Amino acid sequence: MAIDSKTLAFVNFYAAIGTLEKFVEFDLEAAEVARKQNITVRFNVKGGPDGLVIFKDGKVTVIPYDGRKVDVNLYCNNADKFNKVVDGTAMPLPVKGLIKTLNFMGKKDSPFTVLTDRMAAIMRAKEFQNDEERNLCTKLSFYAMAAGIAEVGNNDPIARYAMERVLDGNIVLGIKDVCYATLVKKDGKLTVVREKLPGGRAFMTFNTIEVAKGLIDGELDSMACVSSGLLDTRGHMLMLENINKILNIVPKYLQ
Amino acid sequence: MTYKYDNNVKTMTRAGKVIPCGVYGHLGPAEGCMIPSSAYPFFASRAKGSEMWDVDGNRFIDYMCGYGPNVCGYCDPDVDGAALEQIKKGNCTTLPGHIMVDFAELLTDLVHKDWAFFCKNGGDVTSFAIMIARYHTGRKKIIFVNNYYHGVAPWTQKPDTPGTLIEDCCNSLYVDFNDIPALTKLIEENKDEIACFIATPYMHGNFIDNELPQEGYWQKVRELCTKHGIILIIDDIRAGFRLSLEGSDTYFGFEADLITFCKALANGYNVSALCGKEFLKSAASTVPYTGSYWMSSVPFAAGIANLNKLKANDACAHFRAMGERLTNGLLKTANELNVPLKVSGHPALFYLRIVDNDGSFLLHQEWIAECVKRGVFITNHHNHFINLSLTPELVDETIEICSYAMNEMVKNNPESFR
Repeated sequence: MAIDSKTLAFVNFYAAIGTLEKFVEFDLEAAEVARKQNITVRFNVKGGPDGLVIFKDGKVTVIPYDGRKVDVNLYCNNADKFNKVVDGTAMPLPVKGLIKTLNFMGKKDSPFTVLTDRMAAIMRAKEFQNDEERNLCTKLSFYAMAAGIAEVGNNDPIARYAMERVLDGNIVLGIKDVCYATLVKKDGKLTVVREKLPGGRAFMTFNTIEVAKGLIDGELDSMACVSSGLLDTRGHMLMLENINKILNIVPKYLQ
Repeated sequence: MTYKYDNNVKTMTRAGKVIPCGVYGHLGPAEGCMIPSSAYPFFASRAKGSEMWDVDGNRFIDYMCGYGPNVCGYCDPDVDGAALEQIKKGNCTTLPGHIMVDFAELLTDLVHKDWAFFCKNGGDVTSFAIMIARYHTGRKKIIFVNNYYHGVAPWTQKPDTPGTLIEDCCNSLYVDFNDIPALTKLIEENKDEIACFIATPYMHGNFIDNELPQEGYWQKVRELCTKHGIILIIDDIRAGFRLSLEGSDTYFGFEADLITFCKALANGYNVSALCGKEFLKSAASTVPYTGSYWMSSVPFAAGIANLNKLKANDACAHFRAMGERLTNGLLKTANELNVPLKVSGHPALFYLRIVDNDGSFLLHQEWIAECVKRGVFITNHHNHFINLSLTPELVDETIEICSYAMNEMVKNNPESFR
């Protein structure tokens, strides 16, 4: 399957960078790093995402650009360029706030750089010092996966077929008693909310955090897990069937 | 007391190690019709008539009938007897057994078609029908009815299905069932490009309330197809021999150009058939299509015994009567409990849904799970099947179990049924 640059840019912004929201919520050290800077940064990617990364009082919010005044405006002339920025092999063009840009992401100890590097290291780790670190990795991967479903569904040329067939309503994804996210289908697109919303029409729940890790890492077979009850699915199954078709495509963008 | 499935789970664990999915496809829990999977058994140890026992020894009255093939009853002595007799004479022989001709004569006479071509599964014959239509017309496009199911070959899928290419789907057109204006428009927009219109005789798709044809629908479809040189294919794999032994096109008062049969053809023995009109026989002869086991004699012997038994017992009247007895009983309980149960489709293939406000099916799934755990094997979002061995006593036992289960569901959700 071919990687679509535009889709990858959306995944990089909302699923990868977007997961910083939860990283600083779960990890005290990360929250401390985020607390060093209160700043609103716009990433404006031509033919890709146009969004805001907001650091405020130790919290991070990643949302679409809404017209507000920003401290830093970073421009990429195409999706490929932005994907290189995320890979650390290019820098965006600072349209506004050059010095603040350098402070935000221009150095190894800049808050954005520290947070994204550390989060990526945790999510890519194969060995962990303790259960806490392992569980953090799983939870972050879960939220990246959930956001990835929305972005891949909205943008990937093949996944869009499935996204369009998902009926309007809420699809609740979760690791039982650990963490939840809700995919909201409305106005012809999917958005992710990183919490359990009421009024779900379809539900997919990993029974344990270990099962979630095994499935997200591709070490467990999802169909076998459904069969054995380790992955509980209920509600509007056609909605889930189409979400699963998108989910099949998500890993190639999150690798 | 509800069932426990310890041995089922153990067997599934073993299966998962050596078989993709454990149980793949429509008989498996991953397909979305066995929700939650913890309410369901996974493996049978034996079956007889309308009953099935799982590997934990739990007994079920079975309304899925192997998803259709069980039409006379499991281990039917007449069908199995004919198969056993044929085994003694030879099965997969170098020259096909002459019994193939007997079966073709019986079948074509029964369903009012001019020829029969035998394969193994439903997907074999729907695929062959499409190939014949394309070859005969020299056209590429296929009209599907939304919510269709005609097998799992790439031409039946959407581009997002794993293993399917966009190119596999680029000649697919879609229209809603019972929508003649939309069909007329679609044909006009694709004039001289459409090879065939393929549909089931009524909309018995999964996950949706089933829908019977409106008055005059099929006659108008027939007229449009004839006018525009479009081959009319009826996929009678699921409904065939349950509505009428003469084919579901006859039942609804029109004539298909090609019609496919499988599930109820031989009471579980593996044979499917494509039957067609004379003008397509040459195309069926020309398009290359064959398989290692397609002319095996044992399924033909079983098929002959099966069709003869269905005829002799006025089977379709029995299917309707038992289906109505069951669904009327369920509706009576639902009314008493203030549960908005909706029954749709033909009584022989009834479809159930508890209507909910949020469109989540959660109450329905909970009720079905309570039924299964007490010995009635039904699924959440698929039509069900009646077979000839089903007795009024078994139906009444089913109503009793399902009513108890519905009451349990209501008790567990008091806020929904105030």
